[in-house]
Amino acid sequence: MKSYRNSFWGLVLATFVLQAKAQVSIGLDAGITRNSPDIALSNRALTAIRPGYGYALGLNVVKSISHCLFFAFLPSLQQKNFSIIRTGEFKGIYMRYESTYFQLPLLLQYCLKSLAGRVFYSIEMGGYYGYWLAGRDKGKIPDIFGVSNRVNSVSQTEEEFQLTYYNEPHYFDSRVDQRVEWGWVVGGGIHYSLNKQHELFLVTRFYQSLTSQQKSSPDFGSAQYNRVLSLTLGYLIVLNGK
Amino acid sequence: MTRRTSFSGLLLLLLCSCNKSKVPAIPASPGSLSDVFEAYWNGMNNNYLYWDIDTTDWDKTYAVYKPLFAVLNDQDPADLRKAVGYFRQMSGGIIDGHFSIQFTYPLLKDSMIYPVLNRKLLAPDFHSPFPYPRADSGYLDSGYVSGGYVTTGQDRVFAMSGTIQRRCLYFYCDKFALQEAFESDRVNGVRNVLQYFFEQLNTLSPEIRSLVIDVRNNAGGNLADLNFLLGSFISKPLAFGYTRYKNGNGRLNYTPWIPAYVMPKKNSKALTLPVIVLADSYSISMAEATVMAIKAMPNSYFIGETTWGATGPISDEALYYGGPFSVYNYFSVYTSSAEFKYIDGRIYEGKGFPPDIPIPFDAGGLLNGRDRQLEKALSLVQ
Repeated sequence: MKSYRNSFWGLVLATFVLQAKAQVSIGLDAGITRNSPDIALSNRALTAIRPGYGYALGLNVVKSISHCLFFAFLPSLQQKNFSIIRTGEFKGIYMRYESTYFQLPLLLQYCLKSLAGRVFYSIEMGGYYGYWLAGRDKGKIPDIFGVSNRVNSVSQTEEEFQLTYYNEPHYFDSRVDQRVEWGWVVGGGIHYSLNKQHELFLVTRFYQSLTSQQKSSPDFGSAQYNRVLSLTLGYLIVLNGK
Repeated sequence: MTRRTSFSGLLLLLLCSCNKSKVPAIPASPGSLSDVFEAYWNGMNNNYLYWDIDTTDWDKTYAVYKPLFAVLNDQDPADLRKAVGYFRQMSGGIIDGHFSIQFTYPLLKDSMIYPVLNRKLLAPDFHSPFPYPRADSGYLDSGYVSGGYVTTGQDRVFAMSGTIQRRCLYFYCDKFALQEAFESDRVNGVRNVLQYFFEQLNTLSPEIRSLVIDVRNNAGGNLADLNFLLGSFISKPLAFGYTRYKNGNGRLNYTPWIPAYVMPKKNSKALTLPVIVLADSYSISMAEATVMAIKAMPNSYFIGETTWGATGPISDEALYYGGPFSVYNYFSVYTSSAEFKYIDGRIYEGKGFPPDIPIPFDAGGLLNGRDRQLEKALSLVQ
């Protein structure tokens, strides 16, 4: 993790110290996220992992390197939600996790001008630092004390459980929760120049965590890596544009 | 163009490096005792509930025992016995009061590992289980009812109820399958006892001054009996603690604590009598839940000995991520499916729930028909 940290902050520093006279734009973007995490649960019967949807809200600071290359620094809030559901005879049991991260992605953008002039496309890649700010745990689980028995047609006792609902803030446990996240991000977008200073854009990005969300025994089946696809709509204004 | 190509190549490389999570691969059938060890170690790692409070160093266990199992031969009976010894040693500190390993492998069928029992055998206050009805039937007024029932799982249940000195309503059972017996279409003695007890409860004589529930030497049983029995004593849900469950493979992956309630039976009335529960060091599991739920009621007392210390309830193997699991055809591991915390915020797993009024086991008195614990209960409400 130390190597991620040093490289990342080195790049951030380099981006904003070098080329002080370059064009700088700032803006906002907002949209939705879809997290489909990579979780080690293949040993669990009648279990499926379902992606979760959330929001993304970010500030955009974009600095030109050349005519078509840019650095983008995007401090943002992002939700990384998902659910674990039980299937088959356990249908109805689920656990939903809602996690809000503060993220600092640093991207290298490459822009391709379209023939239409005002419209151009971008592709981008980079790394990000994230910090797990808050979470909420929700779910329905069989209440082990809320059980009733009945004897079935072959004279065996069957248990019938009531499902109990919970909805609690996530209490961070420093032994388990890895709140710092590092990862890589790739994306692409379409941009529309309103004029020389103002621009609207629609971008999609994929964030892959390289660090497990869980600290405990990642080699023994508790690893959990977020994989987030975002789609955001944004606005940029050139501060020192030509 | 070159720049674009190398950028796309890098993207592809990154996208291909996505899947990192994995569950340790356990072979479908064991090739060696080392595989059996791996399956057990991982099963405990994933399913055991008490890694938050158990001081067993499970990682160290792996480091120590992995090489020992690696040199064992599963075709050699001496090595198989050695393996049982290793499993016993590595599980010796497990605090779960339910935890036991039942060997099913033909050559090992007589072996069992039960760490809590081993510790209890060494305790200075250890005593053997005692059949209390033998002494207590002498305290009951004439007309008391007793009887048995054989469960669908072939367990025997005995229950007894009556009044003592016409001022105390008494109920005893040595196992919990009460609802099953009550609703069974087979004629059985436990149903007669329950019918008598509920009838007395519903038409309480003004002379009755207390209710004694006796779960001494009660090995537990069906959790459904908590609502079935105690639901008759309350008119609204009774909070008596919290449960939490495993929600992943990690040792400390838990759901939040979820309140645990006893739910009232339809049309039941809140009991105004003092309720006294008798329990001993052989009150286990569901018997302990009964003690703790009664203690959460107002005007209740617990007399006797500290209970066994198996407070985490158990259910089927696959329903929860924690709890019982099997290791090939070698053995079954019996362990809690949920962690239980009493309403006072304490976890009594492995320690047992302590009485308000401790009265030590008195074998001599009981053999002569005198039950000091029951006598203390009777003296509480004159």
